Amino acid sequence: MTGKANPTLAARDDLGRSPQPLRTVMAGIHTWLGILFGWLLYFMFATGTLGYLDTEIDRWMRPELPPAQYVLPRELAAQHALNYLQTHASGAQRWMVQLSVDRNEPYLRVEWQPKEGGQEATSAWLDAATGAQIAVRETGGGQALYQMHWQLHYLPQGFTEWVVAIASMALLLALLTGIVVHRRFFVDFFTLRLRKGQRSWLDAHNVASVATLPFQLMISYSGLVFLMFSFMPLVVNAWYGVSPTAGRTFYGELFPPMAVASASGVQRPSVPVAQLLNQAQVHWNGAQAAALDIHHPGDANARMHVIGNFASGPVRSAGILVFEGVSGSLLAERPAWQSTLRASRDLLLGLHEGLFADAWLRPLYLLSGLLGCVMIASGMVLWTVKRRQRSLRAYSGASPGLVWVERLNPGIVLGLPIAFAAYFWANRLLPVDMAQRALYEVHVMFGVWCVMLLYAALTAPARTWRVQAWVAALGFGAIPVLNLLTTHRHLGQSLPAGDWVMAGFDLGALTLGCLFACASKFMQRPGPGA
Amino acid sequence: MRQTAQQPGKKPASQPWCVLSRTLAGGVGGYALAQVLPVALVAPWGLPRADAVLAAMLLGILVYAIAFMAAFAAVSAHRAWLNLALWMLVSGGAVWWLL
Repeated sequence: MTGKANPTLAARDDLGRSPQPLRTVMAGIHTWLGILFGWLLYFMFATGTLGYLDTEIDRWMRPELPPAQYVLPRELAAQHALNYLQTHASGAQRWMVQLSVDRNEPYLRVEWQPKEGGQEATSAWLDAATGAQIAVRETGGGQALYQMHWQLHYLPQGFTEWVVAIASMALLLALLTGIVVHRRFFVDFFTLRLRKGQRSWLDAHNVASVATLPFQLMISYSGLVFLMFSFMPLVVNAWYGVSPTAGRTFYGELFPPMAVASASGVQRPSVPVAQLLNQAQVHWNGAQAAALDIHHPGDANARMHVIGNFASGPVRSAGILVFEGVSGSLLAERPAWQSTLRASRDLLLGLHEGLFADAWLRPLYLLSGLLGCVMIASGMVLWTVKRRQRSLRAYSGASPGLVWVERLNPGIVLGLPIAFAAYFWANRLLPVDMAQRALYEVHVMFGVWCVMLLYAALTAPARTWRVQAWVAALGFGAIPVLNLLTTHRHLGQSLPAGDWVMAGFDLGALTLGCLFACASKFMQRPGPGA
Repeated sequence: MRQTAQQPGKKPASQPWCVLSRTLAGGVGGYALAQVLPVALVAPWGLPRADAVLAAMLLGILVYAIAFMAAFAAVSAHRAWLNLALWMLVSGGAVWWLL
């Protein structure tokens, strides 16, 4: 990467004044930020990449759900949802209805907030055709995995926000300094020399990074945009003053409350929901509503929020209409496009989440995320391979730091996918009526990861790479069998029925298992590196 | 960290302190600058204030990244701090004058 130059951090020494070229300095930043934040970023990338398949994983982990249906008239589904809420949540202060719209929201789902503050919202899945509740097992699903990529786990929210913000900034810096360090973008893009030790790891690192560089830059920058309200509070103070309420005033102007009213306590029947949905459709030139949010349902002061689809384009934004509950008159409107700057922020958030991505773009998102994992993993391995060779050349022992990174690398890189597989196994094997089941699924995941890390700490790295690749191969490869033994939506049923989400998950897991098996075979063959 | 061939006349012990000093300049100083310089840049646009905050924050992320790299690209750690202080002073003055 840097030839003979040593990537020390200081550009030109403050005393010796020996000039080092800019590339060397940037290589130093790249290396040290990479090694310090690599493992955390790998976790964020791996869980975030699974987020691009979140609703597919949700579905697999709730095998009780039938394949999604979008064909029904939405008015009917909405009426079913409201009937259900009327029966089961008549005293609630808020009802939310998510219509089955697309890949992101495949099911009719209701949620309600009880009157007493502090109580958690309850939710239920409904059959869009009949309005009957579908009993589903308690699971964290794909959402729990997806949320880990910024919430981490077992840690307080205020703390993880800062950790994730710093790691994201480290990633952005590693990318920018990596660009400065890297000179031969186009040549290296087509260069992958296998089984050449350090050179192969560098090639792998370069190919994975350069191929997806626009994605990686977008994802790190937009990731910081998600967190910017928390980590740049002084900017708010510049315009809103230093009073403690400045932040609240800012949020109030950015997301103004719409037609707020308090409950009157007088019960009045609400306007038919079909009328509101049609009114919204006319208002939005044919675009349909995706969700309803009803404040004070059944009250004389009921407020019906009709919400458009946030995933209709890369700009993550939707129109919202607020109707008077009893008369059905339009009280307030928030258009999808409010101003260029709000839309810029919405665009960055939308690009990051990729909710708008269709069947063509979604695989590209997935591939870019996976290559991001490869970029980080190969960078971490490259760091150790380089230092190992140096210590061999110098006939000195490897430093303890190097030995630890060498040993733990496979425990992170392969141990995490194994932990994901364990999470899926837990979903099928934990008793369906278990209390706090979703919590224990995650405990199983992190427990298995701890075991993998412990094994890695006690074992020679080459052996850990091989053994854990086999464990991962088994963990993923056997998932279709697990599904066959524990549910009725196995490949024998899902393939003939054309249930592509269920079949796709099983086949995807099988493919992943085969890839891990190939990797393990590859590592068994004698050769330098790895 | 691996020891390299030392330049003549250079104290080996000096380097970690320089790195720490630059890391602080880039990490902490850059963080401060990222919340002041964009405010000075955005204030003259005359945006509604909620939008102005968004614009300054979107720019602030880039300012932070550039400031961090600049702290390491500077000739010396002292120079890195000096540059940072100058930028802070100029942009802070501009903010005070504009808002």
